Amino acid sequence: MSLLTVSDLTTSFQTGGGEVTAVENVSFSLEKGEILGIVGESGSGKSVTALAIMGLLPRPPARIRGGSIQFEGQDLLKLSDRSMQRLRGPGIAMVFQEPMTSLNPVFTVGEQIMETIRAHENLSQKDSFGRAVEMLEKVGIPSASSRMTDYPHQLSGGQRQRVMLAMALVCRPRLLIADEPTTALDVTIQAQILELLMDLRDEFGMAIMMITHNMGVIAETADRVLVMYAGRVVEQAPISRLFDHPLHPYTRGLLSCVPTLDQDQERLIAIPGSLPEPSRRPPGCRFSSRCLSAVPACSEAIPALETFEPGHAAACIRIRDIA
Amino acid sequence: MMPLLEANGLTKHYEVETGGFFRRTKTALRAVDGVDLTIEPGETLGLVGESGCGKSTLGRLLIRLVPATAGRVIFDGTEITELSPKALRAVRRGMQIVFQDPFGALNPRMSVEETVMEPLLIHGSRRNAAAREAVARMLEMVGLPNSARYRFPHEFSGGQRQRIGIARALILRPKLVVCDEPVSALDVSVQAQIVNLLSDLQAELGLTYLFIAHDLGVVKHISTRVAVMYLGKIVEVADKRSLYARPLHPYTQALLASVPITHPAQRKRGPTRETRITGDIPTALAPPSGCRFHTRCPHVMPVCRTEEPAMRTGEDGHQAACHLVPG
Amino acid sequence: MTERKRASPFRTAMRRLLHHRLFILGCVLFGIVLFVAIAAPLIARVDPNKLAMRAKFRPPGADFIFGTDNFGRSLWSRVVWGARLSVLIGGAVVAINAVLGTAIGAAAGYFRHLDNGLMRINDALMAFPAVLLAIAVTAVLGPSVNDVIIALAIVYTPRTARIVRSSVIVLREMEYVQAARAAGAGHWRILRHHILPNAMAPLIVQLSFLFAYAVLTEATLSFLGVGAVPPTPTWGNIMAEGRQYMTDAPWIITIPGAALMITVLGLNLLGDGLRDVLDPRLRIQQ
Repeated sequence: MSLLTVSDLTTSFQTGGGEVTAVENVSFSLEKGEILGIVGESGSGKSVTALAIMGLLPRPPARIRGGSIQFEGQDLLKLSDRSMQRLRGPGIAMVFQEPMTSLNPVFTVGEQIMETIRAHENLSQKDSFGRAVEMLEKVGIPSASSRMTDYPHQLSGGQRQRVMLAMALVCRPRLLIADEPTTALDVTIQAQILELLMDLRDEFGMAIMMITHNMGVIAETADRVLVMYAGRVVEQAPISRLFDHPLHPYTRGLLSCVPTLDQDQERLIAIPGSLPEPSRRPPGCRFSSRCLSAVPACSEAIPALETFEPGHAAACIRIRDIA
Repeated sequence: MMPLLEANGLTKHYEVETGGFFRRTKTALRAVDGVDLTIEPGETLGLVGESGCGKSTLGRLLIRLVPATAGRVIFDGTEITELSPKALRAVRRGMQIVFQDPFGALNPRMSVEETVMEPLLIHGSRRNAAAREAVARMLEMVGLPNSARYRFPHEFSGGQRQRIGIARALILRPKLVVCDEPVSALDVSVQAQIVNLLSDLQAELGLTYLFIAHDLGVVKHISTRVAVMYLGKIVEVADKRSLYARPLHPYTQALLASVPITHPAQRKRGPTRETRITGDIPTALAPPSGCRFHTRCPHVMPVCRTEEPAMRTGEDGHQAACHLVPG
Repeated sequence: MTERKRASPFRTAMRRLLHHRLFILGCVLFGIVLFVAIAAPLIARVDPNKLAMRAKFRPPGADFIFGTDNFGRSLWSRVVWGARLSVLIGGAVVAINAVLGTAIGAAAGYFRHLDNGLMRINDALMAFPAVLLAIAVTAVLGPSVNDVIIALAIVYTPRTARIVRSSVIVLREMEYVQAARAAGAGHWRILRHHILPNAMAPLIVQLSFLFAYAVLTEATLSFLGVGAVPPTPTWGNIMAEGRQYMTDAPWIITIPGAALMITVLGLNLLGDGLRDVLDPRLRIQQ
């Protein structure tokens, strides 16, 4: 049995201009110890998917219209608030993009980590202090025990993200959701945090959902990749398949439009247009308005996710013609 | 050939009050600390560095959007650091800036036409048919439909807003454009459009760019030469090919080693990543003595802690400020 | 021109306001007060100060819709003319405030070297309770309607200046302001085109509440006997006189009290509506 199975998840948001769909028919699964990369840009629904799994979507305005989220055999969408609270931490934990606003500025780093421990385990003050220090050392904070009494503003951005990781991991979760964990950080710090995440995965054996817009971060970390566009999964593949044989035109575009250090090209191959707002999505395939391979049939129906190789699926009716 | 812009000993210190209620002390935040730099006409000088290294402040100093604490800037043969406000206004036609944040860079209460036309009005044009024609041409050049002119910023996507910002910067036909992280706030799939647009406009209008960014891939793509900045100082400047192929300064080496790989087959773990660096950037309130990079440098030597390395020029003009580089 | 003009931020705000029910209610309430104030010479032809000792303490009825007071004056006339004074005083205070507050706030926020001096004077003025300061000022100037206006302007301008200043400080650092500077724009142009138009939203909200404060404070001053001198028909004066007869002729104090309440309630609803639509910081929290 998979650790996490999301089936046909559909969520929407109530806005001033009516209800808009944020995530539509999203299905995927995640095995123990696996790193699943979820790639997408703003409005792709990747963060909404993560928040739905965590049970942290603000409802209203958000609404889960259908589907199920099975974690270790339990449907998270049917759990009570209390059971969900108990699961957050030891079951599923999350780190966010912005390490400054994700820590409470009026409590020390130590207080915040120990608070997390004692919310889930019956440990003495002394034992939870020891656990917190040990965790801070694991995430690479130098002289951890003296950092325990620091307030968040006394730490650098990279250190804050390490503290966030320590808080997320202190209850040994089976699944860590990392939502753009390095986007706010500089490259030298990003490299450190990504390496740390990989090391912690090896040590704790947890599964990671790595949500990012950066193909480089995916290349560095993921075992398997889900590509999302405008609320739908457009491609799913094992990591090397995705980079060697991307099928969906959007995935191909994403891989070729970012200038890299080992290529030299005169012009970048740009994807035309911009991401459609949820209320202005084109009919049929949502990428059709920007796709260079689009034909009239693309606007007729939303293409289904079709498996081309074991583990490699894409939602595009043109794949056989353009491959 | 005379450089289009030349900066000597350019310095910007911000006064920051620190300490408690009763013992206030003023400390200088050394945002930019003695930078020498030249920009040749027609080139794109890439300026890279991590957040807080002073690259954005340097960009604004060069076009005198912020006044310098010390040093001078010569633009197109005119020293601009001491110019009177009136004389400065004339010089400003020649240098413009494109900002990072496509939301904050446009006045929400001004239509696209008003925004793009404003620089013309500042420099004495009337709001007449000729000005409107100039706006129409400019919008076409940046790839916006003419119908965009009566619309307001909130009706546009990030990429389109960036096009409006570029149109405003170019309508005076400047010689130098400072591009301050022009694509980093945009969606990945839109970044390439803007990079291509900037390249096309450069070729068409003969522009010179200072391209400030933290994305080393984008900088490599668009630049002719690249300068690397660390804690308020330029540590390495070289031709693009030379810099990316043979980085001399350990900081540049570390930056390049930190860039994520482009294919999972390149994955390496553990000790092979020795050029990557540990630790965080020290604060510009109290930069380390000697070489500012010595606290994080994998090749640090005793001399680095005490003596600041001078900029040394090697073959083909490749410059680096490091004691390891033969002078 | 066949080109369809797109919704400017101003039009968008107007459309949203028209769908705001409490704002509409506020407009109606304040609209009534405004109408009464303007139409006073037409709807209250009896001189509010005309004494009729034989007709004193008449309860509201057919002859006198609001009844008469202890001197037999028509309470209808007095309350209607009182509305005229309240609106005049409130409007004048708001106008003076808008001009002075914007000027001081913009100067302090935009020109850093003026900030310290201007804001310390501001702080000193704001340290006094509003009513106390107003009493002190009228004590120096004298108790006429004009002097009450000046007193209230002095009391409330620092608050307005502070609000404008804080918007200007934020706006000054916006990149579109930097872009205008890079294009060579002077201070005046930057203030007029880029900073002040964007600082107007919180100011307008503040001014609508200020109108209510000014009306209330003026009534308080009159009630305490330090405002416009009796027999000037201000609501505060009427209530002060009616206080002694509260048990025997309760209409004398309650009717101007109700008028005051309607005015303040209307203005507050109006201000809340404006804030919901215009102030983006609060909009995000919704």
